[in-house]
Amino acid sequence: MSKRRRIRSSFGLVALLCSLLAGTTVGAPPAEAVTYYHVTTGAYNGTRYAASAAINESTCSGLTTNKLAAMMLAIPVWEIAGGSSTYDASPMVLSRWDGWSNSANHSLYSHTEYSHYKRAHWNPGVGLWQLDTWSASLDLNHAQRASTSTGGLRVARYLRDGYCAGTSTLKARFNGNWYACRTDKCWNTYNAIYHDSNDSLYVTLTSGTDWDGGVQSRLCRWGTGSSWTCYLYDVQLHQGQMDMSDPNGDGSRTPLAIQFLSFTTSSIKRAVWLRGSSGYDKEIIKAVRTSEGARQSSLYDNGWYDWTTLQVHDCLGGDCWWSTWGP
Amino acid sequence: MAEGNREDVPASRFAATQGGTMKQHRHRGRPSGTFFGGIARRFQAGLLAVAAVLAATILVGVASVELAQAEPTDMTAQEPVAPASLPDAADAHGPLTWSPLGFAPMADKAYDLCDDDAAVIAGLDGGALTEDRASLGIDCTRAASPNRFGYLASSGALALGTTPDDARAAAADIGGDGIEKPAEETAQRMLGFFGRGAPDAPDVDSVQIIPDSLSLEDGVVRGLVYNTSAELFATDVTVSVKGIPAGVSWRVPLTVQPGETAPFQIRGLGDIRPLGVDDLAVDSRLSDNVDVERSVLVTGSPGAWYGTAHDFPGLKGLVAELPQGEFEYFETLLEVAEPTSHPSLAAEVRALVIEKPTAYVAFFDEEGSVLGVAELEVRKYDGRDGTVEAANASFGETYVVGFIIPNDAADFAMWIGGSR
Repeated sequence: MSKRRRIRSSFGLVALLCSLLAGTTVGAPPAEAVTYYHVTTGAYNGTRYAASAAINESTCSGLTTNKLAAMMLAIPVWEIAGGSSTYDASPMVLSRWDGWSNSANHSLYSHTEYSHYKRAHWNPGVGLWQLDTWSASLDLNHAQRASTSTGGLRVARYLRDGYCAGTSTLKARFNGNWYACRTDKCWNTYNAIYHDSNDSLYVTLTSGTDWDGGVQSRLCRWGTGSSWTCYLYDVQLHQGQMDMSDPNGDGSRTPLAIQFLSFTTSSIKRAVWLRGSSGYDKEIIKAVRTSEGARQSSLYDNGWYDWTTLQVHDCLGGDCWWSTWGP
Repeated sequence: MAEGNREDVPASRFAATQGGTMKQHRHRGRPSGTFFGGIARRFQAGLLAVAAVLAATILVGVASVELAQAEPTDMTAQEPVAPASLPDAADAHGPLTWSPLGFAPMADKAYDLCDDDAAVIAGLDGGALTEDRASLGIDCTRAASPNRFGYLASSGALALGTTPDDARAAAADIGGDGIEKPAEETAQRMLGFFGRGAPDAPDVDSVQIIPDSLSLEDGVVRGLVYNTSAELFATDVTVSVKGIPAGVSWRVPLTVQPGETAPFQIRGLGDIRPLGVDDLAVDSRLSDNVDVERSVLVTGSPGAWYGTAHDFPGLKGLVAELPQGEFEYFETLLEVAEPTSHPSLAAEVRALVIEKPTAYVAFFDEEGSVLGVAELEVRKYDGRDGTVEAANASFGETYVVGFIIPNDAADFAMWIGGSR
């Protein structure tokens, strides 16, 4: 269930409350007709968090949280939703069009092969902004890219600096960095959903409160060593909409990664498919340096290797345990 | 060849790290641990390398020009390059780099994950904090809850512990994960450069030739010079062939940053025999003057495409002549960027106007030998309609370069800056 609303609030508890008060309209409706683009509540809140954080770092005259958030939210309208106003893209969206026919994409396929363990696939474009080879987010792992606060902060800084440099720069950043934004489509959407006269951002909030669209936190450790946070990236748990068709990539799409653990240690981004959750007969790991894109990964025979002593900590009903076999 | 002028630190006239004979291009097998070896990226090295060399010079279109033979250089008459900037105490004494992590708030700090704001900064989901804490076994009703504190290491891991010190200790311990690990790397990127990094710099104040990079083809010698200094910038780097009359040399048109490589190609060798590094000489100036015109960030997007001309939706006129059949095209946006490594130069960079922004691309075979070198004009990019135009480069604008990667090239690297 979703409600159209006009959001006019500073970031913080007010925004969070707005997201919780489903059905509540904040402020008067706009005088002119407005197209309300659908956004999950979590994506909205995470995006506004990122916008606020970026502005707190540095800002310029006229830039507000709502304005910067509107710039950010205009991008997935075209990058993912194809201009649809009712498609509330999930922050967990994974790119599906980096196909085998382009040899540069071979290292995205498990063990650099087309036919085996297909869903142990490194989908390179992640999240509302399809962060892929962009320098400003190259170091982020899948979970961080999906996070509208973490990945979103990189986007927020980029658009903030573009805005502060002037309209032409902002347009160039939209159009140049996101192909789907060309011919000023994202620029126009930004101006459609944000009204400068009253600093208002008009969107429709939909269900799904996770800022990262359904990525779940876990504890991981190698063997019995110290633990750190890792993230269960299970596309079945996605909030908002995403392309789930042809998950094996038998048609024109690339495979859709089956649930995996995403984390970064030692400046290496990793995706780990444990056999207990993937259904495969072995553990599979893809490792990519934080300074590299997945297509250029030169670690461990092009980034793919097998075997792990990774253990995952899970809790249910107050009981917690470590498991080697799957999250 | 005469000695070049030095400013304050003598550069070794020529220092080869090892002997060797210049390579003749040929089909090669898998890489064998050389500088750019291990890449084996996209291509099978099945075609004659001479075709690759031709492609490197023919397929790069209107925005590029075949590199002209350097003018004869009088090495005794050169003046120090100006303008120059000097780093101050707050700056890193090394190449210009840019790091998104450099702006991360509260990096390398232990967070109380029971504090909502801190938890979000540490990476927990602001929309699912309760669930995340439960998954991590954190009980915020207990002051001494396991995993209550998270230490966000610069390597990217959020290590957990009952106390801040426990979390820090856990972060230090995570390195012992029992599997092979490469050397630590950061998300820093060298400004003015895109591609594989140089080998570990020995921190010797010299400019050397990388032996494995050398190639000799049709009277043209190509390779990489390497500034092995950890702190000093190299200008007026000139590579020449010993025993050949003056004029058969190459002057590197960009400043070479500390620890950075740069390509060269020397024409006019005729039927000269295969050469080794001992037959080449390098002259340069080394100083701590920072060339801010190298402060150009490759934003890495839109990236590379592979297909036919029909497949490319947005070629921006950067390549005049498209080849038949499938080819690979690389295009990227560029911006003048404030170096996070040198915060004292930020204002200077923001006011900078690079009058001749130029990119130099070197194409490599699988073993890291230079197959070809191309010079590309950096053009200003208008995102509204995708048009490009020649222009000076300045902060706050967007620029673009694009080129076709020769079929036989296993990899490439690109250097960008103000050409001198």
